[in-house]
Amino acid sequence: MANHVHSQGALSSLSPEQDRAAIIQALQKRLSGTRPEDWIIGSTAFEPGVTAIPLSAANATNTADILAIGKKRWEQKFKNGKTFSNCFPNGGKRIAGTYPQFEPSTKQVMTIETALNRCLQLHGETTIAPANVSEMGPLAAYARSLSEGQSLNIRVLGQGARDRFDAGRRLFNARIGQQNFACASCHVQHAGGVYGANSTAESTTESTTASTNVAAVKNPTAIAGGGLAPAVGQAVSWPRVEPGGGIRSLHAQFQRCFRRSGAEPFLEGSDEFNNLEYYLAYLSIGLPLRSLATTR
Amino acid sequence: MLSNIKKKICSPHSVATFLIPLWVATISPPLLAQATAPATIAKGRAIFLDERKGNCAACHKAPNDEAVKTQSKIGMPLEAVKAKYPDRAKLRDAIWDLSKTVPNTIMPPYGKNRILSDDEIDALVVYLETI
Repeated sequence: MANHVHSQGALSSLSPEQDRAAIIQALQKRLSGTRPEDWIIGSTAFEPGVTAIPLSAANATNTADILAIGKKRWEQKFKNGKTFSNCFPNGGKRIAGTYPQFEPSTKQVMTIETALNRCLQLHGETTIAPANVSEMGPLAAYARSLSEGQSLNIRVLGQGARDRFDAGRRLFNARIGQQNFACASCHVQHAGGVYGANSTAESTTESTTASTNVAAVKNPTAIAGGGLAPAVGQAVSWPRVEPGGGIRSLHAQFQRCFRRSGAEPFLEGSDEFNNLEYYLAYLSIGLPLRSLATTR
Repeated sequence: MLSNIKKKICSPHSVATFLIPLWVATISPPLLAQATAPATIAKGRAIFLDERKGNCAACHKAPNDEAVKTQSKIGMPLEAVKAKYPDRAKLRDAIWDLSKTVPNTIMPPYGKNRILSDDEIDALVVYLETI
């Protein structure tokens, strides 16, 4: 399968370390004078006129609210008297940077959300659907906040893990949907670019067809405009706080990108997206985890 | 019954209705092209801007068209397009599926993947040749 960094056909022969190194090299060539540490604020680093996105008062309030909800859930006792902290080493502190992990017993990728649900399951509690952002969002945000600043330390050890890593890598490089984009198209090949939005409706006055009434038509998958974040550094800052206070998970972001490419997305918590998260997190090893970063 | 049908076919209204398309068909192509070009250009521009259609402004600036305001910085700026693509068929091919000539392009294959119809691509070509 062709990809944007390596020669065609060479994809699966590269080790994770080699792949990551090659992508960093390609990104540094495009974004000269920068390092992976500079990329963690994502697309805002490349948007015209934007030098930083400080937490606004609104975002700060939202973040505090979300963490408060998450903390309450984290500390809530199960029916058997245990809590989430009983399921994780060190009571859940400074461990989120090791997720996602490959679980040899089930041959599956364990994201932090999967781990939280595994904990609920083990203690006889009802699990939370990954797409249930109002419940899983604050909980996952709080769980990750216990590891704020921890360097990502993702391991790909053994064939099982390597198979999952490779599956994530294939998806990252696959052209999908009617628009035929791959993740790599924007986040490696054109990282640092800016995608624009039409900001005028003047064309409608000259239009002779109803379908070109741009101002009146709201396209649910329309691109609002923004920078193209480099793939390295993308996986560190999740979930994110949306303008208006909502929470966006990494898998929800994957779904947005799929729809932008005119493809039906996989489900949040699906094997495909877990593998993709595993791959992306590996690309960001050594970079500091952040919970509830702001987003556009 | 037959006489009524004959009356309808041969009435002044029906004769005019029959002859008008015949008259239009005899207009020379350049004159017809001039008559439709402004509308076609407008249609092409609208496709360029429509986020559900070409969505071209997502990646391309069009510096010579004031109607296109975008901060995009992905594809090349679209200016002097006719000079760069003097062969209209090649410009059309580039929109239809650019990967045939630029293998690693991320430009969507508008024709091959049926994002745009043939007519829409034609109108887009006419518009692009004006900027």
